[in-house]
Amino acid sequence: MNIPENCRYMDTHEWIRLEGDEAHVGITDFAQGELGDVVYVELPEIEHTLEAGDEAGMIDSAKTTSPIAAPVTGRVVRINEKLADHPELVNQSPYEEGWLYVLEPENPKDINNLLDAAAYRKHVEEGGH
Amino acid sequence: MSLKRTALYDYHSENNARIIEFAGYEMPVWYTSLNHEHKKVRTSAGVFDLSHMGELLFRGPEALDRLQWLTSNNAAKLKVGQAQYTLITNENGGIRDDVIVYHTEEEEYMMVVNAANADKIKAHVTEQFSADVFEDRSDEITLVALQGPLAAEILGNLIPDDLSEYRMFAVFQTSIDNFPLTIARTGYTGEDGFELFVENKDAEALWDAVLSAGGEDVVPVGLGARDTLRLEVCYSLYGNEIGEDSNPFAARVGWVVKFKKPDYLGKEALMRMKKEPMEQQLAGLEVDPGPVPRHGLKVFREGAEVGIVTSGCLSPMSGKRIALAYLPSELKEIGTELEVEQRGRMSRAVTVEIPFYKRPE
Repeated sequence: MNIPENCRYMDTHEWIRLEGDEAHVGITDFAQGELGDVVYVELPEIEHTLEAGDEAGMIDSAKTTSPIAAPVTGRVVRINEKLADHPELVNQSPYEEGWLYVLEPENPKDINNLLDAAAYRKHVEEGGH
Repeated sequence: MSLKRTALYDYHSENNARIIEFAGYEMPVWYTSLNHEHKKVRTSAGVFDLSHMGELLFRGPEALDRLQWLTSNNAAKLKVGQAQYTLITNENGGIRDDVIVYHTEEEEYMMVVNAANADKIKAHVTEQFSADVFEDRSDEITLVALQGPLAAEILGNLIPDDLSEYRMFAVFQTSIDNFPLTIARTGYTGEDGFELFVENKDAEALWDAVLSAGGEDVVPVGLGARDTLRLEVCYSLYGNEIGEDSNPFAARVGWVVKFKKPDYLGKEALMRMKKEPMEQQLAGLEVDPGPVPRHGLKVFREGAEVGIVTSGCLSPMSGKRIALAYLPSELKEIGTELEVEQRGRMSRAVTVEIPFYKRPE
């Protein structure tokens, strides 16, 4: 199970990684494994401000539809355009090429309130629910 | 309540299948990838553990009469060695379960019921005859399906029988090595294929024999692809397209509702239903690119709600978003423009011919 140290996590299996003023957001390796083949990703609108916990979009796998939540409050500055033609990137590379969108957090320190890698790993090992 | 496991659970677990709860069982939903498994069944072969399904044996001189009372198809048409798809109907003509009845021996029939309905059907049968008139073999029988264009070739290497003698819906007994099995040329994928019934103690030997006979031509397939395979060919799923309140004629299963047979539960209601115009009927939709249509979504026509999606998926074969939906009969015509509401947004949809997938000639 790949759980990078440089990300923070939600218990609903989204990750966020702060770089400067911007943060990439995606779903975890565990989440992509649970979903199976990702066939479509609906992403938030650019310039839209999401509140922490808001539904930011959703992911269709071959089997099911799952909402994705915003880890912190912030403005959407970019989305991963590649996913339109290659949603499978979410399965193949959940932390790198399969990122979903970039947020400009209102308060970057909010990210520290999320689970760190060790806490998230524990959450997953306990079943992830 | 603790979940049940099939005799093949260890295989699933050791081979990293993703396990889900289904009808009280821990079942594999996929092993590697739903899409990969789906395509393998369409182009080569796949093997499924379906041991969660229920097997009820009806035996003795009254077995046929009892099945005739319980089911809508004409079980008297079955010769030994034949099977039929049929409905267990309720007094209102709705569907208590859809099942296959196999005439395995003189005065012996095996009924395979949906796992989620097994307890309901057992109670229903006992109530209808005020007695235990069947033997429940569900916990002792392993059901393995081998499906796909290469299924006959693979199975043919395992058994002494000439499979060309057995057409669709044939059932016969044979053996592999030294264990006996019942084979039926039935399935739920739209492909040629077989369903193999063995005692649990022979489950692993059967599974291994099929996998090794198939080699690279066969992969284990989970319940995920089983659902998308059946949806492409528009086979009904109980709880989605059909249920206690369904009209079998509207649900496209009216072809197994027969009237030239003795009285049965629901017959009168069904005769009335057949004469009355149907308010809604099952139709096929193709939805524009965007979210994938799913069970329970509402269907609109020019802003007015007109129907509901019963099942939907991204077809692994066509790459299109396909769905079955109940629609007013007048909107069933091919090419009708509709919308499906997904997360508060409308996606354009159009009615199309079904089944969505046809096997190449």
